[in-house]
Amino acid sequence: MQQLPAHSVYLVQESKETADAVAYAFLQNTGEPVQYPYKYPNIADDDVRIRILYTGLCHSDCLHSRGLWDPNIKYPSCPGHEVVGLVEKVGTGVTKFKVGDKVGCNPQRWMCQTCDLCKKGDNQLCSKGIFLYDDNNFGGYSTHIQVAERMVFRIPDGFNDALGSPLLCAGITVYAPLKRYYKPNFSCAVIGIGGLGHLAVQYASKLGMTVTAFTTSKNREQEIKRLGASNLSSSINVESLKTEQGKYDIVINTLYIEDEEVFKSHQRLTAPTGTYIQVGAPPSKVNFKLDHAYIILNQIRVAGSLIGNYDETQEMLEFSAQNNVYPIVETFEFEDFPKAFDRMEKAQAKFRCVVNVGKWAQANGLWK
Amino acid sequence: MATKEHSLYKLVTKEQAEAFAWSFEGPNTEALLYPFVFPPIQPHEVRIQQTYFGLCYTDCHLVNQDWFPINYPSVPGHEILGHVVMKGDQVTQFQIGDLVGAGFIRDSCGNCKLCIQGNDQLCGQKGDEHFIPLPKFGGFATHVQFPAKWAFPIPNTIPQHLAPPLLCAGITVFAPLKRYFNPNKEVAIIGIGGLGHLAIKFSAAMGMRTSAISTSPDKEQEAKSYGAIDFIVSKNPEQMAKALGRFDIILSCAHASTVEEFIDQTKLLKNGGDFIMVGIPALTKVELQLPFYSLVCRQISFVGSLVGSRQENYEMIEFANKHKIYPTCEEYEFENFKTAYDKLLNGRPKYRCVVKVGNAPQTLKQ
Repeated sequence: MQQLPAHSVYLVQESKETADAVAYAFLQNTGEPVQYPYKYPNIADDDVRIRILYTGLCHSDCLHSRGLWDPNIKYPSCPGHEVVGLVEKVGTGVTKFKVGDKVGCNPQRWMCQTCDLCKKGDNQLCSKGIFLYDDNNFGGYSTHIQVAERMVFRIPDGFNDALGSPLLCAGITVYAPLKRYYKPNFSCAVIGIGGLGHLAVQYASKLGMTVTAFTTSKNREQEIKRLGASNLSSSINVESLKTEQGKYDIVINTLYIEDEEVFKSHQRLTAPTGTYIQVGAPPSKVNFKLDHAYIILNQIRVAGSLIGNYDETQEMLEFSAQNNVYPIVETFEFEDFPKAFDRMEKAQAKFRCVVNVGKWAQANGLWK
Repeated sequence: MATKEHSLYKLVTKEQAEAFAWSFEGPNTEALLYPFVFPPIQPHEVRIQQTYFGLCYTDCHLVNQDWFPINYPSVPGHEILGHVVMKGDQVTQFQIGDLVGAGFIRDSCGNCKLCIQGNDQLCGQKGDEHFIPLPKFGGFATHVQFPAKWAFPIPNTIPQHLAPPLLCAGITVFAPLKRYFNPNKEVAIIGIGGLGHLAIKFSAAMGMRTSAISTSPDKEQEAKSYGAIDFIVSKNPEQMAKALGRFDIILSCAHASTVEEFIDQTKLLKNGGDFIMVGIPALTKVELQLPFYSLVCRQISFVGSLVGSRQENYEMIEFANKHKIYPTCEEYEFENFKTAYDKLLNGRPKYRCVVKVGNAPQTLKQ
């Protein structure tokens, strides 16, 4: 086995026999992640250590670990922020969870709970918020994850663990803004039927809205209608988009389209007094061009949205379990983490990749 | 004198005229006196003899085809104030002699979803009849004729020479401030001009903690006299840095002159805050844009607002009356309209130009 580099927080081990956990970590911005056995230095009073059952892979894992967001990223880097698992150990101050509880983790690792935004309930906007990648903490590409109690979620009864991990990021990313701005009688446009979009269609339709799916895909009509869309339309044909102008009370855009005319046409789908939600973001530092004339003349809202707050996330988990909203996933074995990552990185996955971590961890003695 | 005739308003001699307008026969031209007679008044319309009217930069944009091509001759103007001198048979809410005002909206259908919901300024059912300044004659005239529905009674406690800009500038800032109002919010008004100075007054009177942001350091005293609790000079990097992420609401009443300036303005918004946009600049001006990252990861919103509904106009007039909120105006005689228009187009009026109609309908006949 190659000599693994040290990490500033975790104590790298020679093999899994002495390790608390085994991660799949990137050692540089290119190439495949490799197995990285490690020990935790400690468990803080308010920390919860979790045996991961399933981890979902999200495209932002690539943006992070390939150094596309922060070129000064420190390696080894272990991303992953869509986790479903079982509590293995709790710090001395933990009161909300006990060993054996089924829990989930999302992209946010820390909220301060004292700033204005946290107090208002929007902890995802916390000025001192830490997301799973920051401070070089290890994320969900691992057999274990250790997170402060305040950012751990209870997985409701009846939740489908094998399918549900992507909900912790992809799910909440679309659920929260839909819930924030919707009314049940609204017409809803979902632009881009991929990882985010196919969940948005389900949530929007379960919330009672009439959903039109805007996509480039052909031959997916039946499948998209089964998810809850009533109609399909082109997401990139400008003539077609013009005919849909002003028809949708709520528009959720999961895409970034470089073509300015197309992108403005997306904003113009919004009905007067309606809301346009942007959740798709490009990898590089490009600008969002506001169609300000349309925004003013039609009194619309163009809103960004970032995952969701704690309550919205907990609510989303329960809503999903009750309404049977889950992603369509491709499942991989733990040792195929690099394959899963590659498939996700090449945007080939339909629609989210999930790794069955628990099976390997248990079989390889990591549940100590 | 005007030479181009409008199909609806017969161009006549001064002696024969019922009314006088200032018309434009092409973009970037001077206004010409247009003596005319009105088409027959319709059952739902009123004819107003104005006492004063206001000028708004939107009128310049329209005349100069900054946004879209228009037909000429054009008589824009949409800050209207005067007495009802004639009314159609179906008009019951006004009597001859009533003092009324009107703004940008000419008509709405009353039956579509937007109208019934209370957003009648956005009604899309009225085509050419939607807006007052075009294609029919608007407020740059001694008289205006339009549906009574969009005329608002003006209390006589509001000084008439200051009232007209309330009907456009006033409602434009009042409506969104009221819509997004919350007593605990920190509000910033960008730009202390025609819109901005009224916005500060309205926002402060609503009880919100209101700060003014301006490029001019010497407007501080003035801003505070309107009720601003704080004043930030946008060209001062230190002051701007201190104000990062401070405001729940930013109401932009001035166009950013560069993309960087716009982005700097958005940085003053709290995460989750609302940036209210009301002014449409010429299409050749700055393209408003910001990093995707800022929009999405800070969860900020850009919200548009277009004048206000009839209900919001009634409320604005009542609120302005109660709190004595009036614009600062420069007054011009009707005969000197061209001077007023030129001041607006090329100068920097403080802050709105208002034209006194006075006896012009009589004196111009001679």
